[in-house]
Amino acid sequence: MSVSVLIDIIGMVSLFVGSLAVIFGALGLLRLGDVYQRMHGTGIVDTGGAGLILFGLLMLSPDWTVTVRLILIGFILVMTGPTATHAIARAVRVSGEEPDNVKTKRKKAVKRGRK
Amino acid sequence: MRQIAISTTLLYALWLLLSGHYTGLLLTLGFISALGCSLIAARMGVLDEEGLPMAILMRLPKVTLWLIWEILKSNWGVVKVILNPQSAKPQMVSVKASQKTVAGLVTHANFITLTPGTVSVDVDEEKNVILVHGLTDDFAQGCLEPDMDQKVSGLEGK
Repeated sequence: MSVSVLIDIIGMVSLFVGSLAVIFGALGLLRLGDVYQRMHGTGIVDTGGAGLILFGLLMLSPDWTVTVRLILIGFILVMTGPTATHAIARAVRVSGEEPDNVKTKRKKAVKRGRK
Repeated sequence: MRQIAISTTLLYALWLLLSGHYTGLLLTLGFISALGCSLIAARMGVLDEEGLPMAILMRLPKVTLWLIWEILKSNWGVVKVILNPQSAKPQMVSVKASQKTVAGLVTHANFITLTPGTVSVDVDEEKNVILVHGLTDDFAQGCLEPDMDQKVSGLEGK
């Protein structure tokens, strides 16, 4: 088996795993509890999904100009992704939404208070 | 002056990589536009240690591999939680940061957000504390360990 075939296989496998990660991230966005938890689902899409798909494309890229562009896309994604996530998280916190566990604790405390 | 030189070099290198045109006239024009952008940025006052943190950018490749490994590990952890949403025990923790520059603090907060399972919700510049939302106990406690904090402080080199 020649090296180029091996590289192609690595690329295809990481494309496949990256796509799976994106699907799992979307699933997490749908299944998890409150806003804060759902953000962790998108975290997978941002890192594992985008990262592995970009890595796969790097392995399959035909010439160096494409490689340079892919690396740049990865760098920009890594810089902007967390910033956007943090902006959402902060907006949610500033607007007064509390995480689920804090809410349930408060409800329990209120119930205890009534007794 | 030094910042303008660095910024011009970076922008020109980017232009060279992306343009694909290598004739005399275009090379000159490309350099002029890179220099012009840097001068405008300097005039705007954004070309300082915060806008162009070279110390951190230069040392970034050293921690990249470690960060990728951490991200892959916690990706797997979050996938497990997604498959079984009842196992999520979300909680907020305050992480003490030892970074001395604002750029370092932002890098630390970004690293925390970049790792799935933990999101930095609020950053307190004065007290150097990052409020982190963790998906489970493990993720939240993992954030409290000084591992990442030390790695990012190492990036600052101060």
